[in-house]
Amino acid sequence: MISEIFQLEFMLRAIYAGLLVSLSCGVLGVFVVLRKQAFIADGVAHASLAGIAIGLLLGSNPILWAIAVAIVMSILLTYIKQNSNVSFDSSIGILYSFFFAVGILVISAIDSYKPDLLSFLFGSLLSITWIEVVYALALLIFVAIFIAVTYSKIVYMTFDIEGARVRGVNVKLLEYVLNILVSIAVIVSIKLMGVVLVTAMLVIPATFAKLFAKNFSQVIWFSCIYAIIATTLGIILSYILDLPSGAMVVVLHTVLLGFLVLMKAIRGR
Amino acid sequence: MKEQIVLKDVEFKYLNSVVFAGINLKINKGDYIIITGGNGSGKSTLLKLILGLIKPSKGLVKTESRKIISANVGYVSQSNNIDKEFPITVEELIHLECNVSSKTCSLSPEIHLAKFNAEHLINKKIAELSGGELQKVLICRAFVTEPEILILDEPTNNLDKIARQNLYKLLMDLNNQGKTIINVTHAHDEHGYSFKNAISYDLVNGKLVEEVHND
Repeated sequence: MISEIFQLEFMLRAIYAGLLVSLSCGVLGVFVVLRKQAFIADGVAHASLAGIAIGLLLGSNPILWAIAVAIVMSILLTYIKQNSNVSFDSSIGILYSFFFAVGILVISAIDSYKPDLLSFLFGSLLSITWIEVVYALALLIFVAIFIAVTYSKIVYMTFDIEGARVRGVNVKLLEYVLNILVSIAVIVSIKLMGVVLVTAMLVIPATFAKLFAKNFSQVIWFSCIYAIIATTLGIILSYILDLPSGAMVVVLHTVLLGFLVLMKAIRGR
Repeated sequence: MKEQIVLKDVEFKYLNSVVFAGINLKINKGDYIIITGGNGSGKSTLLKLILGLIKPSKGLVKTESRKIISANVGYVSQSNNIDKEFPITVEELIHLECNVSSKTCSLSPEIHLAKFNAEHLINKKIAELSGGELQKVLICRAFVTEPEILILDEPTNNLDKIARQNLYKLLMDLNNQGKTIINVTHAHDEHGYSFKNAISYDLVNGKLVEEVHND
């Protein structure tokens, strides 16, 4: 059964995409969780419905439209955070409701039934194309370069934003780039995970890493390794059990986290 | 005497209410400035203006270099501003300061921690530290790049008597080496230590009032 999986092209595409987005989300998720901004992933994923709907309506690539909406949303969120007293959670709540509502209005304008829409909402292994694997690879390259170049500054900013500003770190620019990359990571993961479940890819591995790592260097590695293992197993199980990939991956991520936390608690007694 | 920081007729408003106004302050290289005041008097806000983190509603904040936000400042903020559950070790935290600063760190983190008898904390995560231990680490972090100006916001918070004494001995040594120190505090702890050019101010009712001037 397992060897059969690796001979199926659509499964190979799904596994490659899963590995690549696991690495991107594993790294970015650490900063999302430590900056206490987990809601941004959920907000961007829901807002992306507007882009997906526009893409379906126009007959062009919905993922590219979703990326465009996600970038606009992340720029607006960052601008509001840096220039107003509106809380970050509130601005996410306002903007994602707006974009989601636009998405619903656009979908209602589409005459025919769009089966693609379900794969965006809940994730589907069959719907992942080589182009999306390339998007995932491009994202990983951008994330790797960004983190390598700004590592100390972004860790400092995440720990102590005021101290980072005193040290001359360009906090405003870093926040924009980080939020844009997180938004793109969310969209690139949507075909695998679905709009409603994609947050798990950013939040669960990083939460595991925060709980188990002995130092910050370990946090990033632990988050990536956890994401790769749980996502790959989730994809394989979803094929074997013939269940939706997004739901299977999230269930596996969560059950694994619960099991490890329980084991830690028992060993700590 | 070379002026490093000048505040000229500075006013700061928050939500349309005046926190302080008419603040005039000249800080020369090697000064030891103490600013006291009650809760909510605007002491921390005044420091943030000096650091360039916020802008005055009126007046001028001039610093020696065009940007005081540079490698020349060591800043100890109030520790309640940081995430105490952040998964980072003391050693990583201090290395981070060196990596972000444009100045190199000539001494190892252990040597700085040893000044507070805290070298044993080097491999601990900050979540494992007590309030006092964390404060010692944050003070060491500010000193590690050997900055020319030290800006301290309630640095003795959570510190026991011995740690407070160690801190003031260290500040006195640094002041004697010509470092400028601005110390915002609730109470004068520095009795018994001789600082060069010590000037004490009280921030009361939105005005900065000079108290004592010891040459």
